[in-house]
Amino acid sequence: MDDNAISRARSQLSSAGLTHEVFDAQEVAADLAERTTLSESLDEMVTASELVPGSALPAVRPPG
Amino acid sequence: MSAHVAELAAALKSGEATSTSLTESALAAAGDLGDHLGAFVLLDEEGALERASRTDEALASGVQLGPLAGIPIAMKDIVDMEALPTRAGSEAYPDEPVARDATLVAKLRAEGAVIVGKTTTHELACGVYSAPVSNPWSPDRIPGGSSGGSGAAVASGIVPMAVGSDTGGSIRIPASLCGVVGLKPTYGRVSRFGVEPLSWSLDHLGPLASSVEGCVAGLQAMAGDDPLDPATAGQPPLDLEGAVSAGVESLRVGVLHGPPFEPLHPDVAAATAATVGRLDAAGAHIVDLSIPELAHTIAAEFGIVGPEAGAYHQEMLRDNPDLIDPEIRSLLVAGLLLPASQYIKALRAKEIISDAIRRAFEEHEVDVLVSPTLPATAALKDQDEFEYSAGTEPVTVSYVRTTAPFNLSGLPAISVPSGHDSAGLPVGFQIAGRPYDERTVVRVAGVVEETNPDGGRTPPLHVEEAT
Repeated sequence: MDDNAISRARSQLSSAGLTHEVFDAQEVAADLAERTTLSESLDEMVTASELVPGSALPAVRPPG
Repeated sequence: MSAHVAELAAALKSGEATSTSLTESALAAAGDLGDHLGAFVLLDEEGALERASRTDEALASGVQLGPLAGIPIAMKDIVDMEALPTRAGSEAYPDEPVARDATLVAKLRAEGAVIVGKTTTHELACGVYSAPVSNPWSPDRIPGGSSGGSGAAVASGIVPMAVGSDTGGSIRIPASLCGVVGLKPTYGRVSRFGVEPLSWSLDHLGPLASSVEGCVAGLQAMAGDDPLDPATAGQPPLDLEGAVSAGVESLRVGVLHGPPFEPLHPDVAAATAATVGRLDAAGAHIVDLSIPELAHTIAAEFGIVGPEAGAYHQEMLRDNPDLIDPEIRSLLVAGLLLPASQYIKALRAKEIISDAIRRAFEEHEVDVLVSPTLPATAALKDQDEFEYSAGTEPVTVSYVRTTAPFNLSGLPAISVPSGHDSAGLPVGFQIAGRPYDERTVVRVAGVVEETNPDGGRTPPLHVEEAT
């Protein structure tokens, strides 16, 4: 984990008011990186879809 | 207790039992099994016996109540019950009693159901281990979660029905691992008012029961419009009359293959194939299919749960972060700090997945989609990963990947016991239907239950063993 990512996580924690000693900036930076990677796996599907965003809300369609 | 809802209702009707006697039995069983099982965080002895007595009086005077009238049930401890605390499995929650019932509790009580206590949940309804609950089939194994206490309470025969919540599988996972039935209805069927949220876009409430018919009784009592939960508005009527025994003749059953329904433990694959064979023999038309978009289930699910749970629990994260389990805390923190664009991307993925499932129903002209509820049976309490031929996978991911597609799509889905693995642990079979079509889901579930060759087996941790 590079120092910039850790510094950014520290700053984000502070901005969000998460100042308790239990928060470790290095752990948070690693976790954010992992979850960003997970989210990026959606890119291809989301980009390729022709579905108009919001068209499926509410979450289900009526019968028939 | 050790009986289904219908049997207990018949005993009440014939005078063979009273609500008070059933409630006393359930409370005694919860006490007897309590230390071994850990299913309950709170027993409401005084309140339950008082309501049971009132229900006995009502039944004696001929008042017509619902199918759950006088029957002891249990409530997951994320649901508000007047005068009792809601702790959501977390040390960060206060012990103060809440002022009013959740809508679903009020509905169940209006039907005459007697709630004997609150069941253990994985902390914040966000996990599949539900410590310290033991699986009644094997006490060194987990019951699943997050509604683990509800699953264990039903499987051990303490109560015939309990309420759970399901954001990524939390009704169906414990139902499958504990060998009971768990029904997650369509998104918005059951009001969430008075229930601690995990993720507003994905949260569902529903019953776990010892039989399909018990789930039907529970859902019928809980479902319906509630002005305090806009997701419940405009739902069509719930018609489950006669559905359990209606059979599957001429129904088209889509069997799901490919990711995320693979890889599977071989015993689970064998039990699933056998169940599909029994549906075929019962007259259903079997269609094999896959939905490629579902490979992104986990990314979409966690991309939504994190930000929504982080936003809801923001104050607790600031004030008492040391009281939250580190794994859950990291999910909440990431949810708060990740850019909004990632959350929006996950919401789009939810729409795309919902649309892909809808197209699968239409293009293959199927009435239901089926799969194993879970790729594996109950993990050991200290187990972190499953090993498949293709490699290892975290236990939580393994359990959620097959259930969460129906949280993302909001479609009704049930888990029904379909056999046991070579270690004697229960295997569940999942059936999902079209929006608001719980009726067809229940029809198929009724046949799976009826034809299960292992039906009727009871686990070692059971009231019959304790008495």
